[in-house]
Amino acid sequence: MVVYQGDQPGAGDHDRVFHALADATRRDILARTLTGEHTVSALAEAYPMSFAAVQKHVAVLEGARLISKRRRGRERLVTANVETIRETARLLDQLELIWRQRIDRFGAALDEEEEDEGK
Amino acid sequence: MTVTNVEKDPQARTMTITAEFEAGVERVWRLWSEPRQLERWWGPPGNPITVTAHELRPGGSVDFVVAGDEQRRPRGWRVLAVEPPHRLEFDLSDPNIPTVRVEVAIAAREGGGTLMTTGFSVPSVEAMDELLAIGFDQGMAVAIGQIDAALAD
Repeated sequence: MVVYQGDQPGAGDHDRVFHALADATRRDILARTLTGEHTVSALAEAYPMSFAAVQKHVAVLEGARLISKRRRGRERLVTANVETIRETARLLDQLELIWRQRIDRFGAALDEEEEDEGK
Repeated sequence: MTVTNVEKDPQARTMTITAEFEAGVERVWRLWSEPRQLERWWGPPGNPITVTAHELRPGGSVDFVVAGDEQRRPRGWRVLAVEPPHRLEFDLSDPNIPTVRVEVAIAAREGGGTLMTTGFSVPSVEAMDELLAIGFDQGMAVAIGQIDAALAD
């Protein structure tokens, strides 16, 4: 479970994630890498575009932490980062956690205010 | 615990949190409507906020910065509706989450005190819907199960 602590930037930089997912090719790349590692070369063969174009898509996915890359010799292997995906899908859970804590603080501030007024 | 009820509807992408307080409606409203009061509870203890603008009117902005955010990324509300002391509606932006619409309703509780409901709505983001669709289409549930199983070892 991801614990949201205040305003730490975490694996869930959602604007980047949504931008990354806004492209059909990138969604397809992500889908392929969910079920296993692929080299960038192997991925590139699946799409009617240049290798450089595929590399750019992979870079956007990596920037959004939806995928991670590792090196194996001269190859670059790409795998989906399931945790980022799960975190995004659990947005409401995150919201609940933030707001439960926020409303607890709200209640405490109300009590303090009462003390301040000398009631 | 002041929160008395939480309802979530993932299909509709909404959530409602209900809270009850002994304090009266006007005091509860002040915690939203006065910038120095808002600063006392909005941010977590280690990262309090400073309100830099507070225009509580339709179309107005409430802006703040968070202590500890060196980049001083903008956060705040775009106010949609205000009906003091009972209702407030705004779009909330924060770097970590997509824009959330928030609707606050403050009402006197029978027998004294205040009932406050905060409603949240996450807009339909095609990309997010696609993400969820990918998850099911491509057997992500299986992948997650494998990861969870590995973590449990």
